[in-house]
Amino acid sequence: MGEWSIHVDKLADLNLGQEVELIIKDLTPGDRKYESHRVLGGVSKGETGQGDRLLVRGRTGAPYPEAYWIRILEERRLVPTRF
Amino acid sequence: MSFADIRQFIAALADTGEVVYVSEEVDFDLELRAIACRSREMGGPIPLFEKIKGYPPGYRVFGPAEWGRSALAIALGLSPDVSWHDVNSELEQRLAHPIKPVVVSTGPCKENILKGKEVDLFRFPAPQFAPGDGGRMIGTLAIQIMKDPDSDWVNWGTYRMMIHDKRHTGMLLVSNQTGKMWREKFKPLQKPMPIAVAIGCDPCSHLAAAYALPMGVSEADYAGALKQEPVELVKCETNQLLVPANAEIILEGELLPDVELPEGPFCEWTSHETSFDLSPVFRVNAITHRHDPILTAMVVSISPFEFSLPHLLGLIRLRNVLKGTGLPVVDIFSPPESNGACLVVAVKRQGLYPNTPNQIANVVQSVQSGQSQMLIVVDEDVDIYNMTEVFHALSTRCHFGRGIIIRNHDMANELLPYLTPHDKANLLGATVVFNCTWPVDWLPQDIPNKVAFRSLYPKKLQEKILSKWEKYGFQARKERS
Repeated sequence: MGEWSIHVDKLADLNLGQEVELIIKDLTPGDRKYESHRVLGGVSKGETGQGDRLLVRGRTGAPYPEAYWIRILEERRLVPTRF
Repeated sequence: MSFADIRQFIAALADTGEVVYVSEEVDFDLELRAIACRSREMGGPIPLFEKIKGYPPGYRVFGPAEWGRSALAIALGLSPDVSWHDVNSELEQRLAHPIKPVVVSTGPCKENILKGKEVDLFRFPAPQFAPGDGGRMIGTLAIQIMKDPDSDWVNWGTYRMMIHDKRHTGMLLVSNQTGKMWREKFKPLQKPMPIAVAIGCDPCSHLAAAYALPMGVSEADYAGALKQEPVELVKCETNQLLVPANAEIILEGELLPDVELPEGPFCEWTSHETSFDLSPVFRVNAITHRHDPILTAMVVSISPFEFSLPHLLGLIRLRNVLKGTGLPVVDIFSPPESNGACLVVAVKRQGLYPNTPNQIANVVQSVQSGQSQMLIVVDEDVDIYNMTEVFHALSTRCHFGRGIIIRNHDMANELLPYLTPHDKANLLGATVVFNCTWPVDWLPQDIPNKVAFRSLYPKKLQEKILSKWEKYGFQARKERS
């Protein structure tokens, strides 16, 4: 099971239960730890959930204590530039 | 004596005990930075980490790379024991004589050249500084080199860079910085902006990059001024920019005009974790580096032994501007403990008026808007480099009913931790001025004597006592400077 983190302005930005595009960080140990990924996914909350663990942090990095989960449906191009 | 590269500087620091070589394996993920933070808070040496978990031998990290007074003195080729006053004087003298750089055909930064699929920022042990940070930081003490699209002016800046993935980083461009100004020029052109990033340069180049120069002036000339010889520059592989030939690592790339990604949070110069924000994306097209490269990493924490590079050099320019206005300014200093947020100004009584402190604040804000949120104005008998004396003056000479001026609507620095999102978006800040000078209409006979050895007793008596100090049974101790 993977583990990810995300920083949010407010918890409402997670759009719980909906499919939404998010930028998350890979917490898998190793030299790629903290690499950013743009994904389409759905976030849920609770002691058990579907998908990978998602650590949610606030604007200045403080973690929210509740348990969150992310079901990754699709990985997208991180930097969608036309250049 | 000037240092050709960071390696010579590190060796000189090690000779005086300012550097510790950490050969124990450390993890880039929090451990490295935590060690550096603790050492800093204890006033300890700067660590050079020689063995990073998961990385090949030889890949090293030097941090913190912002230095105390003694390390700065060594960077300038001075004795590590010189006072802040002497360091400031030396800096001022050298900065008066810029020396243009020279272009060389190659240099140590070209020992390894990576392009295309070989480009991978994760090959360097960029630290994750804190658990809540937005990502690993590869540019906390780096020089970003960019050129004005409308002229030959080349700017060296210091902008933080967080790794997104193997080829992309964020680049934090703050208001009032040249980088942000030029990015705004490139955006309507809808063209990528070429940038080169030099990591691990000689100390004078890093100092110069942090120096807030007037428009149209190139920092490379002032790097030469500080070194007292020209900086050697070499051409990039993938663009026309010139980079320090002896840098440890060069990242060549461009700032994209059509994408922004969340960058941060990060522990900033205020020693607080600041929030994340959307920032431009830097795409890396080529990497060149020395064998066994050293990644320089600035580590900020609450410490009595650090100073802020941009603020120290900015003070030299500010001092000259203040003296040029005719205001009775004798000297200025930004205490390291304030991380640049406080400015202490010594004034002489001749030419002092009740509104002089506010006038000084006007000049400070016009030259350094968004910095020096707290101004403490003192009479010239206060040693502004001695925080005990400054705090004593603040506590005992400021009339808290009449002597505090609150200036609402002065421009804020976006990285101040107490700003609301609305404040940040609109740069809404405030500054405070503490007037710790004796009332202007007091005669010398009205001014109380300061009870201190140097001010209360006749000079002849002071000299006699100092000459017999050890005879009295006291051990010789250095006076604080």
